[in-house]
Amino acid sequence: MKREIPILITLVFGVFMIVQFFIPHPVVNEIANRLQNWAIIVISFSYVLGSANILRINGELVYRRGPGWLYKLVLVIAFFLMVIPGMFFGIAEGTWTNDYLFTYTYVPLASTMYASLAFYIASAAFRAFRSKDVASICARGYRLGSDAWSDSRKPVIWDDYRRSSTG
Amino acid sequence: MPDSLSGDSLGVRFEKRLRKSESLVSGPVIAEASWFNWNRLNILLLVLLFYATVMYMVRRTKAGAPLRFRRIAGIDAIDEAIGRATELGKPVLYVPGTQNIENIQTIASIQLLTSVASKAATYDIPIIVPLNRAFMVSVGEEAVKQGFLNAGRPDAYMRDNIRYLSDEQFAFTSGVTGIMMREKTAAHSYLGAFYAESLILSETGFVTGAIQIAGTANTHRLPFFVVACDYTLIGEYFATSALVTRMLK
Repeated sequence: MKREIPILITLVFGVFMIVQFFIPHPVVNEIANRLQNWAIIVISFSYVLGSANILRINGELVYRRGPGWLYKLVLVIAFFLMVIPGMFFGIAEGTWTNDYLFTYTYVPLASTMYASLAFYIASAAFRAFRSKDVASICARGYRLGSDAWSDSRKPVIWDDYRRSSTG
Repeated sequence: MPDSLSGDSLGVRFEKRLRKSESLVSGPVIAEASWFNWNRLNILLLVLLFYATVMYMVRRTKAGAPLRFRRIAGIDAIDEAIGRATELGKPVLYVPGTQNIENIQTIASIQLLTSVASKAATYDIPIIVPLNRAFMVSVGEEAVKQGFLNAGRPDAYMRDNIRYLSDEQFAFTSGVTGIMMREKTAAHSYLGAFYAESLILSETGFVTGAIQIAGTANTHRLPFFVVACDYTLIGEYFATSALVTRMLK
């Protein structure tokens, strides 16, 4: 029973959500919207579980000075630094949390991480296009040839720019 | 003379045209909500056809019809990777993608996670599962716990190794690469939906010297995995999950 009831609930609501896709009736739409709101509420509770997971694992390591505890400490401090102002000042645009913590701190950090992808691409490309056998030489030759052919058909950007700037 | 040149206003022109028309004036009507969207009939038919095919194949298999699966190198490599981690005495890292549980790739990956956790438990090797969604915490914990139970080693299950890092893409990525570098994980599995983080993860894993197995249905990420990983499942890990977990039995 402990196993069957959750499966039954999942089945009923799952089938309903599939069926409502084909039924445009307002009554059905209303029920579907309500179910989706319930799902959002349930998902929001999962953040409590996630936060508890972060604090339990990292907090314990910091407390008993486990391996890499300094990194964990930074994580715990950053966690509270984001959560507490967010709870008190809100996260809407224009608030201190959104502007200083998210837009001016987190976003540049994430962008830096994204930009570092260029170095990873370079190292991966170096390995991928190394001429170690006939197949890789052919692949590289094809790539260079197709690039040269497509470039020869493109308009020269600098000429376009010069033409437009001189009127 | 056309209306546009005669100087008539829009109202006058409309009235003239209305007089010319011969349609009957009908009474007021009440609109009724429809109970079926006929424009989506084709989708419904395809869904029913797909469902019928799946049910037919399941019944056929249950009746004892032989199932033929071609060998997939990536599956054999899972054993090899866990074996190598055992030799080195280092943990296994399993990343079930960066999407939530409603994504079909994540669902397939979670089934594989149970199987990989079971093998890791058999060899008594810890398995670390970093998660990108808070909702996945309980799902990941249950999957790994089930794997350890299947292997008969529920005592070896470590809840702290199922780690929620962040919902943010690059915060999660830096967290996972940090785990790789600090804990020196020896076998990495990236199975699920991945985006820009795919190359950062797999290249960092390559630098640490770990044996790496990747699988995704996001075709635009496959080249990165092919370059940086030892084995890549090209969307076939959906079949892999059925094969490994023997769900059809």
